[in-house]
Amino acid sequence: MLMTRLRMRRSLRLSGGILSLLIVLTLTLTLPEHAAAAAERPHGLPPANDATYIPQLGGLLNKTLRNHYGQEKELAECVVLRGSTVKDGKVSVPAGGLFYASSTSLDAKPLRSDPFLILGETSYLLSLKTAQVTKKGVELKKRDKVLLDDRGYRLWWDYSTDHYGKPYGEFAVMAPSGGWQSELPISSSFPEPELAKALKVKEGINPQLEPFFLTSSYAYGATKLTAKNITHEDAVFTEVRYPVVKEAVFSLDRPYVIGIQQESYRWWRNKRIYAFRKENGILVEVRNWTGGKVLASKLLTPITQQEYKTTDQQKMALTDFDLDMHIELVVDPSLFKGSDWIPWANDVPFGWTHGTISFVIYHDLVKLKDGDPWPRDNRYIVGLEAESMSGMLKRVVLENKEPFELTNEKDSYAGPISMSDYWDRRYFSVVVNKIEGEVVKNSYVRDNWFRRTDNLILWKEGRENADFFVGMSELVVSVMEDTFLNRLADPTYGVPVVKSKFSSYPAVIASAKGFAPDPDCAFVPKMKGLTRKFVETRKGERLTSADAIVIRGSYVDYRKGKIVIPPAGLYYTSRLGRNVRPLAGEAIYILGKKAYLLSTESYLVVRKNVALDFWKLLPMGDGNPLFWQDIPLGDGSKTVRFLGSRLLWGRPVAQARIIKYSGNAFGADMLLGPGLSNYSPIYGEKAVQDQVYSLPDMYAEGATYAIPRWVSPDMVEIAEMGSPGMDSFTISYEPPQKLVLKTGGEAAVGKYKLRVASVDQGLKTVQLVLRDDKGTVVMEKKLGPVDKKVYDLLPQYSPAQQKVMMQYQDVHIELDLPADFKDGKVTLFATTGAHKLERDKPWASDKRYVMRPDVCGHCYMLNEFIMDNPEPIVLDAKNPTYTGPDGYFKIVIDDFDGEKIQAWHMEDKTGWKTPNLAELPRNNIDVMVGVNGTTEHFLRKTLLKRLAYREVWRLK
Amino acid sequence: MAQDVTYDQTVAGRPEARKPSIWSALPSWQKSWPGLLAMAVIAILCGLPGLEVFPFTIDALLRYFDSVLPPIYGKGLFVDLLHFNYVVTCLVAGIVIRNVIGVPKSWEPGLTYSGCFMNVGIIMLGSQYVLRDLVKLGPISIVIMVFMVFGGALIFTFMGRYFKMGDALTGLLAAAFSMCGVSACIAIAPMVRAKSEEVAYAIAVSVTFGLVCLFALPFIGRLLGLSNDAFGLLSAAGVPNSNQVIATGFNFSFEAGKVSGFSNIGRLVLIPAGVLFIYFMTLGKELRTTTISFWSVLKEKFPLFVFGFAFVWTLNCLQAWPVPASEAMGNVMNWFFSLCFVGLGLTTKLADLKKAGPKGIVIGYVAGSMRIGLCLILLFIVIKMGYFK
Amino acid sequence: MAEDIAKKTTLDEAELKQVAAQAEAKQTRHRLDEYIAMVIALCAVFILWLMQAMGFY
Repeated sequence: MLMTRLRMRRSLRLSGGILSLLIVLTLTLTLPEHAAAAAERPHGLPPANDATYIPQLGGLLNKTLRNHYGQEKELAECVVLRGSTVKDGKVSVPAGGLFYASSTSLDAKPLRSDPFLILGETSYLLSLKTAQVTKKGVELKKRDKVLLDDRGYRLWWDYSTDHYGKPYGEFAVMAPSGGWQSELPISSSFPEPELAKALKVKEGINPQLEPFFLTSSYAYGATKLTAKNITHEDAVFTEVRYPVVKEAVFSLDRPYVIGIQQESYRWWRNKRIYAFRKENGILVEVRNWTGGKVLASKLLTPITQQEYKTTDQQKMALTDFDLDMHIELVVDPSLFKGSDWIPWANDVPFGWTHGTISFVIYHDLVKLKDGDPWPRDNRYIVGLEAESMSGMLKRVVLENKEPFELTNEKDSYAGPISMSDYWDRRYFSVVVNKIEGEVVKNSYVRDNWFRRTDNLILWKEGRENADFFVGMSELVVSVMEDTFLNRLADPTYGVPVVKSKFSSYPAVIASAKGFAPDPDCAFVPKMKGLTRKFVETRKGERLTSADAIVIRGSYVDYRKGKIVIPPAGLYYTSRLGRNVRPLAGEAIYILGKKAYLLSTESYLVVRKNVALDFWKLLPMGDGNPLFWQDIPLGDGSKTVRFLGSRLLWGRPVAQARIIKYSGNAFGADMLLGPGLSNYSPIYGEKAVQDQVYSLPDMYAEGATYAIPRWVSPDMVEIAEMGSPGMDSFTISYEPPQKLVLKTGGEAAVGKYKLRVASVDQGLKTVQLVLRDDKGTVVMEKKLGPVDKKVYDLLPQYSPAQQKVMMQYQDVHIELDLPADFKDGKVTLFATTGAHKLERDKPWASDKRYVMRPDVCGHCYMLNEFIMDNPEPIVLDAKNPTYTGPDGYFKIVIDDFDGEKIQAWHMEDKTGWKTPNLAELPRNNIDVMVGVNGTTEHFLRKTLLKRLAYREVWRLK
Repeated sequence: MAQDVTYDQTVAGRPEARKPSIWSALPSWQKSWPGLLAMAVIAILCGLPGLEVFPFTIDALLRYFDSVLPPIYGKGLFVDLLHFNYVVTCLVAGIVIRNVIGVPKSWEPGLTYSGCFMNVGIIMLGSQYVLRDLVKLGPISIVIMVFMVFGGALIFTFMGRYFKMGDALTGLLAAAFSMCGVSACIAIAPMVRAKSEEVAYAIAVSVTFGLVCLFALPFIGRLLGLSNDAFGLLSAAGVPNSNQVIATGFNFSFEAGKVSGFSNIGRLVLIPAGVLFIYFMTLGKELRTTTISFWSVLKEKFPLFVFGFAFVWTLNCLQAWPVPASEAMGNVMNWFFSLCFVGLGLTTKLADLKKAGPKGIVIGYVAGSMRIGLCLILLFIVIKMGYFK
Repeated sequence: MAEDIAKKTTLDEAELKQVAAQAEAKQTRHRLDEYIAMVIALCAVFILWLMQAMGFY
């Protein structure tokens, strides 16, 4: 369906028939999105926009287990229904529309007893067969999710914008379940990041650089997207490479460790296990009870933590499905003490362990093949999904093979049959009834202990689909990407407030810059006095200007009975849907007043030879962060933070991020794993691994770059890095007036007179003269030449901007672009009242606040305008209120007992009050009010928790 | 109901014997451990808040039923709608055991400690309050409590006269309903020269009325949409027995339980004054044979453990410990209350309802309900006047 | 029971004495309960205070 829509659009553009274009436009617009999506296969697509999310159902497990190296794995299960439709009293679910998914944090690898949940059973991953799919010549359009293969993988073009007028987009490879890991910024119009190595810049402040780096081939471990051509509307990829998992073997029982003295045996169940020491390994023999008959034997080498061994799984283990045994040779079973399931183990007495060989024996084996039916229930197909970077197992999915229908009479569909130790029974069932014509009014999921969810149709009027997502799984974060903001901003259940966890010390911080608000803080989606308005640019682009208020890092000092908001803890932020650019009449609302952006002053901050230490929650370990190792960039409005690291084939991959003043992160993750280009392990069998891995040697996205010198798991040395900074920007509250002048033409601009001295149509220049009221020339400037070179660098490049604008005191004049000077006429935009807003300077009409313009790390443009408190704000019984800049909003503490905040709210300038933001007692007044890019980023980080907590609030 | 006084009565009943140590009024450890143990075991089986180590509880079972049954407007039947919290579970478990299975005699001495555990709970309740609570509940609640104690006594004297009930019984009922039930009843008994049957009768009426209140009031409260504070005050003013007051409050919500515990202390403090008031109201001049000194009544009847409550409360107001510690104290408090509620359930004989008889029902229940109605009207007025939320 | 009360019209001094004694005994028990409760509760509070001082909370 989607493809036909695409094809139709394209053929129309070719024919150019405006009428037919209109018809199709109305068609595509009137067709509801989900109805269009339902017609095609549901793989990779999310449930309907109004699908219910419920986090808890007793039978769906959430567990944190450890593998035998003590590494924690967070395991979670979920059940999802998507693509369902209701028609004529029937609910139809397409093939693949109902699925169960079990996933692990990061990934699961063989040979380390990585735990996994399979329909509620704790199991261990034993072996894996992986592969990589390479698709050539993939084409898609903006916002499309295009199918890549018959398993249902898709490529998604989520977002696109432009720089110097050239497009770039963010793309993600989606698994059939709808899960995706990272959006990769790609363009075909800009220099490759590698070229940043050739930059010659000094440490410290440098002028704005011209080049804008963006790769056309993004490498993310086993995933790689290579673009051929990306325009504003279409993208063509020469190659899309992503990992898949073909086969996985699990053991459904806890392992058993036995220590055998070499050249001897021990009994295991009804068999004898022998161990013989050979020149190149240990020969293990499985014999019958008497030892007379060898049932299986193999020469084993020990499993250890080296990752390459996973490619050599055949050599590392004896697997026999007939005997239902899988034996691995372990070095030191004491390591198993770190695992949650301490395996059954016997041991030799008195520490006489010399010459003892330890085997770990798994049984209850089950082999799952991607695309094959689930062994217990052929109504379901097994899907094995890979982690995008390592290519190892991320998720096991069981989806319905055939489409099915539910009616009022036959109202339930059983989930897959589980493999239990006691009773193989359906793991869950989906019940849908009270179907009335085109709507369904009752739907729930029952687990294997007969417990059920609440009615998943939350509205009395019923719903036109029965889609849902049940379970506290990481998958919800990527699946609900399209709708999470609407969900969280939904005012139906008020403002959910989480009760604070009280601790016996005040969580004091000295300055909150770079901090995010408390992940549990209340989110007020709408406060009347805040601005959220469309701003139309000269090109007719409609952008949303929205402001928001954030309080972060606040705490109660219970010993003094005071609420403290540290410096930078209270900020007001205003921004556009994207960066604010000059020369286009773009504006943002500052404290409710429309401010036209005229120009910006930004530069590049360069640091050389710095070491970046790994970030840990030190020293309290309670989730209260202390960013002691952040590396400030230049003026300190941005810092680099080392967020995490992992190993990919033994090579450390550091994940760092540029953190902005607001606490938001900038751009995509900085993945630093130099030296991994088209790597494929040489050990083992190609057929087992069959994947090629690449990682970028360095990071460069837009104007921000980092060249690592050395990457270790907990430290990165950076040879050179740079990111933009901004000192000030110029705005005017008065709208620019349009002036069309010929040579010799004059116009009044404020108290000055502007005269066009000459226009050169050939050279594309114009000479402007500005006189004061006495007639003296105060400024003269030649604008242009407005040639291709200038256009190519506009609107972002500052020297190019200077060629098309003139500023004198409060007067600002700019050329209307594109300028062709036809008939010697020149179109100008002139405004008075231009004034600079400078970084770290107090806000003119309210000195309690300091201005912090924030620059975009891509393009040197104004990203957001922040005003924050330079001094701590102390609230207590005597001073229970604090006003925002110019009284724009007000913080009111209603009820505070010295330790617990029992009631507080915010007010806008008209006195409109938010609900009580401490309906459950709190120990801080962190809050997010309003929706803009800044709060959206924080919400995305805490999405799973917030979505889940809304449910608690709904039932309240 | 004299047979309910299970400690060795002979000691107190023999004036000629050497005055025994007051500790002999307590049943010995050897006698009381079965009852104590039974209370603890039943409480744990019911599911104590903050004690999640033992998963197989009645509470967990009810929650399981809730998750199996279809939710009603998103809410579970037992926990959300019928409000089977630990208070109800403990009480019902106790009542069921006593009235269906029966309680062995060996438990009885231990069960008498349930009142003691309630006192422990009330003292620890101090850790849940800050000064703000007093300010919040404020003078209005004090006024309401004073009004309800003395006004309630007046209602009963009026009813007593109207039904020609006799002064002693009127006094007993007035004391039982307007102050703290059984103990006030017993305290006033010798002063109004009551007979043992009358004492037993008054106790039966007040206890059964309290029992009805315990389950009915929270529903009425929810029906009227009362706030936690208002309900706490209502339960303290309307329910006769102290432990029933607290159970009713906690049955509504934790916050309401806190308030009712707090207001109940106000009522306890008023006992001496109330006793004297009833004494002078009910008995004609000619009957006042005993000479009564105000100070001796105050000294004898004043609930001393209120000082313990005040002490803990003061410490909490001075932030002697942070919130997590007071939350832990709240849990421990709940455990003691649970023991008390189990004990309360185990000593509740539904046969008492029959004992109270029709007249008792008329006088006690009508007057008791009138008090509650009066209290509701008062609350309505102060809420509408904006003095109280 | 109500009938019993109605039947008995005369005040029996011995019985009054017994009621008084019972009341006194009950009063004593109440006091004792209060003392024990104070001891238990304050000990519990003290233990929890000690635990928070040791850093448990």
